[in-house]
Amino acid sequence: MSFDKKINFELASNSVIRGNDEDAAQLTQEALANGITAKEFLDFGLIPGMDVVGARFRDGDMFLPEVLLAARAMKAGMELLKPELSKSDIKPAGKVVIGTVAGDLHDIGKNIVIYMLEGTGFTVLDLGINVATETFISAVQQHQPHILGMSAFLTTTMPAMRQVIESLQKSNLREGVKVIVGGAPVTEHFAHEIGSDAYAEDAGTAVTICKRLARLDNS
Amino acid sequence: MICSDMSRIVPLTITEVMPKPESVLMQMGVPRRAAVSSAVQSLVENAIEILSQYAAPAGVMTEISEKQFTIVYAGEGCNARDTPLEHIFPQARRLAVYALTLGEKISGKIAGLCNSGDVALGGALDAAASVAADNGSEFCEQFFYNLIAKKQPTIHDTCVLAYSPGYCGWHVTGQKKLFQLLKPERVGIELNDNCLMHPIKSVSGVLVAGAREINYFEPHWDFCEPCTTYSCLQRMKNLRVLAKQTMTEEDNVIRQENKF
Repeated sequence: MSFDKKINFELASNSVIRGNDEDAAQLTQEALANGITAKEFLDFGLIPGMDVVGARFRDGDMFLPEVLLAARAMKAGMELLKPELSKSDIKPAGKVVIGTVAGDLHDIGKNIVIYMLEGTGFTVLDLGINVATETFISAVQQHQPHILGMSAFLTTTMPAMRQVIESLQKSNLREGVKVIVGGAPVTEHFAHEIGSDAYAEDAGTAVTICKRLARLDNS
Repeated sequence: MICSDMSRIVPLTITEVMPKPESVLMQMGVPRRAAVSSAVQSLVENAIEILSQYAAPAGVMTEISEKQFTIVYAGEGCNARDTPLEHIFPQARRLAVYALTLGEKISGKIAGLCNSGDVALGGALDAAASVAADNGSEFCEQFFYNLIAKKQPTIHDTCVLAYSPGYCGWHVTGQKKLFQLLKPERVGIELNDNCLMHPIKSVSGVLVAGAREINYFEPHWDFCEPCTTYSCLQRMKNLRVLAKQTMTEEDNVIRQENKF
C-alpha cells in the first residue's frame, strides 16, 4: 500500500487524541521511513492532535486521565523524532524552569504540567520539590528561561512564591522572565497580588498560557 | 507535658484501603458516571493493581480527653482566629487522635514512574493512593466507632468524623503537638521541619465522636475562600443522608412494633 502523507498525519493526530502510544510510535516511524521531516510530522501530525486535546480539556469534553494518555502518546512519537530534531536547528516552543516551592513536597501537579509542556515542544528544567528561593534565582540566572513556573499545594507554602518574585526583582532578573504560578490553594487573586504574570488553574491551562507567554517573549 | 497511655495500633490492611476505579477517576477530576475510554479504564485498573503491591498501610490511634485535645489543637498558636473545629470538639462525647500511612514504597513507586516519564500511570497511581489514604481515614473513623459501640451499644445518634491539621483553619503546625502525643514514628510516619508528614501518603488528625449535628456548619470563614475542595460540604451532606437513613430505620422499627 502506498504511503499517503495526509492520512498519516491524520492518523497520528487521532492516535494522540485517543491516547494510543503504540499507534503514535508506529505512525511516527512510518512517516520518518517515508521521508517526512521530523518538523513536518510534528507540526502537521502530533501537535494538531495535542491542540485538539488541549481545547477539549479546556471545554470540559476531555478529562485529566485522557489528557495524560494523550501526552504519553505524544511523547512516544517525540522520542522517535528527537534524534532528527536535535540535528536540525528547530527552536523549542520555549524554555521553562519549574519547581515546587520551599517547604512543599507535593509534585504530581507539577509533573503533569512538565509532561504536557514537553509534549507540546517546550524545554523544561525541573528543579524538583522543596526548592529554596536561592535555587530558583540561580536557575533563572544560569538558564535564562522564558518562563518560571512555581507550584504550591499548601496555604502555608504559598508565601514562598512571593519571596521568589521579590528576589527576582532584587536580583534584577524579573524583567527577563515571565512568572506563572499554580497549585491547589493558589488563586488568580493571589497570583495577581504577589506580582505573578499568570495563574493556571490546571495543567491544560498552564500549557496554553505558557505558549502565549513564550510567544510574547519571542516577539 | 501531655501524655496518653490509651494508644493502639489500628488493624489497617490493604483490603480496607483499596479504592474503587470510579473513586480514582473522580479523584482525577472525572465526574461520576462520565463515560471514559477503555484505555483510561485500563490505566486506572493498572494503577490500582500497582497500589495493591506497593502500599503497606499502618495506623495508630490514641483516645484523649477534651483537655488534652485543647492543648493539641492550640498547637503553636497559629490557628485561624475562629474555626469550626473549636466549636465542634467541646461538644464531642469522645475524642481520639490518629495517623496512618500507606508507607514509603508507594511514594517511591509514584516518583519512579514520573521520573521515568510515565506521568500518566504515575498520576493515576498518585490519585489511587490519595483515595486509599482517605479510605484508611474512614476505616479509622469506623474503628473508633466500633470501640465505643462495644462499651456503649446504644449509640445510634453518634457518628465519628475526622478533622486534620492544615484544613478548616487548623494550622498545619498543629501536627507538632499531635505527633508529641501520638508518636506515629512507631508506624513509620515522621514530621519534617515544615510539619509535613513523611511518607507523603499519610493522614493524621482528630476523630470526633458525637452527635451528627455538632459537625454541621456554614463554610463562611475567611479560610474557606481559597479552599478549592469544599469537601466539608460533601461530609455534611453524607452525615445528613446517614441521619435520614437512620431515622427511616427507626421509623420502620416503630411501625413493626406497632403492628404487633
